[in-house]
Amino acid sequence: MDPITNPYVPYPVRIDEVTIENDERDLKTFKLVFLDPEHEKAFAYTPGQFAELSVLGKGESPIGIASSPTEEGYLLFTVKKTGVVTGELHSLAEGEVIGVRGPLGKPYPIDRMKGKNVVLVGGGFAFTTLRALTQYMIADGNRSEFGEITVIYGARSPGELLYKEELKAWEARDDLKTIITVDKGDGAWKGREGFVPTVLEEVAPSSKDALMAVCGPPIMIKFTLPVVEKLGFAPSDTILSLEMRMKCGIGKCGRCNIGSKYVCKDGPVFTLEELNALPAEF
Amino acid sequence: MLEVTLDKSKLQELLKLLGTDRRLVAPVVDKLGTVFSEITDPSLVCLEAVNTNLSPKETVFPQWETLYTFEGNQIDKAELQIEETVLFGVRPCDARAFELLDRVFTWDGVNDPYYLKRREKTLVVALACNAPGEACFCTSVGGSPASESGADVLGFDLGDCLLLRALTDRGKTLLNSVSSLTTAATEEEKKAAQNAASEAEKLLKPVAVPEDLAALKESFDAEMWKELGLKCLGCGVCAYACPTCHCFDITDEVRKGAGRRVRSWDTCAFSLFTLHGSGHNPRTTQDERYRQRVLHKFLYCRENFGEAFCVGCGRCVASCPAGLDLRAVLERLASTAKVT
Repeated sequence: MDPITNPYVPYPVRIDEVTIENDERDLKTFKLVFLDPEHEKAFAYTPGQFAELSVLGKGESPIGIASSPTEEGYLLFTVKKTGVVTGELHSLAEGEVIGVRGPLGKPYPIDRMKGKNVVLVGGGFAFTTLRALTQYMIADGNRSEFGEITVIYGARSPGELLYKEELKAWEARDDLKTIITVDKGDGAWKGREGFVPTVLEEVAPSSKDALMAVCGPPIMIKFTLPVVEKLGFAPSDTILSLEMRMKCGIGKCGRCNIGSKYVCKDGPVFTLEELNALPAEF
Repeated sequence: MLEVTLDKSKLQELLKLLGTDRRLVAPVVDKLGTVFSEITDPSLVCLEAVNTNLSPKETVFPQWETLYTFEGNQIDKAELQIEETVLFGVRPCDARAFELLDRVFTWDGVNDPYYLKRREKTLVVALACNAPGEACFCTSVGGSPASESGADVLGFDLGDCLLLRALTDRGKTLLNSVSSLTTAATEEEKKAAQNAASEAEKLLKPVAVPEDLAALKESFDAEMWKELGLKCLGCGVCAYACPTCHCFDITDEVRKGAGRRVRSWDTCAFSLFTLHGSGHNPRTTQDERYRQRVLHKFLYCRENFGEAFCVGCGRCVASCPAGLDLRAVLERLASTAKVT
């Protein structure tokens, strides 16, 4: 059973670091290191892709890859404690071995983004693959390939923001426009307050020579898309990432089928134009 | 083309020979009807039934199979071992289903090692139908009672004897290996086989299958799904009996630290099939789930593979406890561009 030739067999990885991301303590970021360098080489990925995290005896969960391939030597996954597999993952400590199966799915269209302005809009813990994309674009040697980069990221409260230290570092950069907002601040919060769609409308990034990627909970997407349209972003230039229940992740098991697409292999990244052509079953 | 004749008095001997050093799987009658089963006693093989209760897809895609075993967090390194198998007496619709399943399990160049290994190890000896079953409609979905697709050998029942036609190289090798029991087919026998096939074709009642994919797409919002969804019990028997349904689940089983990761058949008819961890479910009602099964087969698969994933075996019609008849649904979808 070789994970390189059998797509159902996960690569063994060691949990190198676990970071609790939020006040609710139900979001943890796992830093994973491959046990075998051959496996690491075989796992060549691009931001926007996902993997099945595997805990033998419990099962697998499809999770977006939060790290960028420019961060060498490890993978990052931010996992919300939800069910059997993610519950078990949350109970694991550094040093323990789990499995990673992937990389799976279609990534963000990075080649299309090159030479363009890029606007990323994220909400809640769906921000993970946008974090990967941001890290990729601002990495040494890559930044000059893209135009202006604007990141708008919101969470319910300051304590629910992911990657808090990193966000500060991003805010300090002058080659990246980072706007962080929370639905409602607390006593210590000095930043912006307001829902993501409202903030996007205030920031009003230009749609000229620009691509927009939006990731967030369904309610945020619902109110953000009209703003995106108002700003003049064409459906073909508006990129979203879907969530769907999955098992195989390789276009066989049928679970994530919507219309003639399979979210696992044709997505999870789709343009709004592609999504508009699909039946509303997501 | 290699065509040989086997006197039916030698059928037992043939089956015995085919089962030497290999697994022989063929239809037998059991308490619940006719099923494909591993054969140890060739006298039990029943070639009279048109369609078995369950299709032979489980030979290449078992209802339940171990993907790998593990202990603690170590996956067992042993590679998959699959026995050489002869699948005997498969009806042409079911053989054609293998050809359709091949496309899913090799789709986009991503090969499913479990399915492909079983497929590679399985020789398919099909048997043309002289008299179709009541719910059969193979000719309406691109098949025929003597379709050659998906099989290595195609047999024709000529009363006292079977004419066996090799369709592939390995079919030819198989027939050569039993040449002591057969004689070269005569022109008369070949003609008889052809006649039997065309007579059977005449007995099939055509079903109007919707051809206009754009109209099918529009049917997504049709009222008829609500009516059908009310009848559908969501039991999934249609998918389990279907030779082309291939959706599956992957689950883990553990006992005393050792376990296995298992894949088992699943179906879009089940409400949990699409239930997200968050509690969100994109298909909350049975009408959405029933529609998904029909449109996946007749619209989405045609868009993806150029062919509907239905071979017209009629098992879903025969087995539905609520009396839902796919043929009638197809007729309704085909009868008008805009279904209401």
